[in-house]
Amino acid sequence: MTPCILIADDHSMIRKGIKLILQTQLGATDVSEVSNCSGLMNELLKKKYTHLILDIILSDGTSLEVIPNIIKLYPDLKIMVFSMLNAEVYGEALKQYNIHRYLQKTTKEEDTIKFLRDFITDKEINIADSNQGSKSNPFSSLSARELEVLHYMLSGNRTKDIATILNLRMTTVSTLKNRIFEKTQTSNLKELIQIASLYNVNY
Amino acid sequence: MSLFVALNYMIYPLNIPFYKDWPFISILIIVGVLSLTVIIYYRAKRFLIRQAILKALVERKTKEIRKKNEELEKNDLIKTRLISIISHDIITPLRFLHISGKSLVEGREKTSEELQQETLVEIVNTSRELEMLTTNILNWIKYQNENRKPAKESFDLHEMVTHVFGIVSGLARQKNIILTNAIPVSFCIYQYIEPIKIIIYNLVVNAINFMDKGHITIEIKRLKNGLVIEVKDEGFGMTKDQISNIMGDQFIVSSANIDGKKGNGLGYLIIKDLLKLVEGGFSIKSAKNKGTSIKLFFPNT
Repeated sequence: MTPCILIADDHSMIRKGIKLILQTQLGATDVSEVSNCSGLMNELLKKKYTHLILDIILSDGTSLEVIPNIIKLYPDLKIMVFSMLNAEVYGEALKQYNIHRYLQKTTKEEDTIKFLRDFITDKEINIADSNQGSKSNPFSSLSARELEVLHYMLSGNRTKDIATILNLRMTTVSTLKNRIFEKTQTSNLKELIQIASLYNVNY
Repeated sequence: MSLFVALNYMIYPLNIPFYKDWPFISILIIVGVLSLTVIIYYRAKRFLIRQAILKALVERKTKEIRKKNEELEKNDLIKTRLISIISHDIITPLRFLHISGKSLVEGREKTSEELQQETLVEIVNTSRELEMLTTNILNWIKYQNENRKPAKESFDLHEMVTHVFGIVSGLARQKNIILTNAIPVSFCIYQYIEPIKIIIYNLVVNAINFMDKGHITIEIKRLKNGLVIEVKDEGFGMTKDQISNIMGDQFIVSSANIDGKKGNGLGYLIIKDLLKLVEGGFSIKSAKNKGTSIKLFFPNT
């Protein structure tokens, strides 16, 4: 079966780069692109895709917010996450959605190509192998929900705004915020932003 | 006679000299105590005054330190922000610029004509964007040092705006945006040329990014005490929250997120810093989907 691939990334240059690799090096011709979450959901509805290459930060939100829906609606779709963000942190959180393919954008070119090839040829991955999240990273213990809130906190949103964006109650957001501070052992936003940059979790 | 003696005995009981007399001694003691109290009082008063002066001094210094500290913290946060801009908006696109270019060179025969063209357009646009972003980061760093206040000079504002439009004309043409320089030809002003240019450039780039089609107009008005430059667009507009976010002295520059469009928030940061440097000001008027008008004020003195 020829793979039908969808790339969701907010940088058009990156979409073109992946598309070129897929076409010239891996012979995949059926490749489409979207730049945001709503486009992603529309495209998945229109056409039956077999593979999805997904960035975490999209222009209209984080893909963490749509992944649960995608999994529920398209259980056969194979998903790999391709992001600038730290794999130790986000890779760990994504495992709860049974997504075990996480490629960091800083990976070397040859390794990126190899990873993409393994992905579109559906090569078995060793789940235990991908299970090497380091416990030394203060962010690796955060849940997917907490990471969502973290993302909006780092971009300067107030509790009220986060509650509106994620459709949660203010008290829930406050609880999540406190838990983030607790788990990362920080006491204010300033400290949180600093260690987030240090561990490459910030954007 | 005996009465006089008795009286005499009552007043001068043992005929002691006056300085050993009890009223005199008590007066002496009272005077002593009084003068002591006066001395202590004045001493204490002087001490209190000195203390008050010191306290005021300490307060002033504390305020200064706190202000400096706030500035440092702000700069620190902006630096952190710059790190993420550099990693997400510069390094990643550069990597893929390279990967795409390499794929084009090496796999030319395997790539369809259409994809080749698409990629080339992307490379052209991305390299331009990267140049603009790095220029802006450089602008910000350049004017961080307050001692580096630029000097005023005479220049032709019409010509300067034409120059700025020249830089972004490619971007505008792609989106069918018409740039109008409504400043009279040879309109000379005596102002800070470099900061004004950077500010106008940033506003025009912002306007282009947040509109699909329409006009961007730059106008000028001379006031008694200064100049007002207005940059108008017909873009998506801003919400009240977004405006107050921009005007507010927030530490975090949140990226403007309008209808799925994303900025890195660096533009307004630079604009605000530069306006502070040249003692200017600005105001924003905006209506959703109608457009935005930004008025910049530059004082004469």
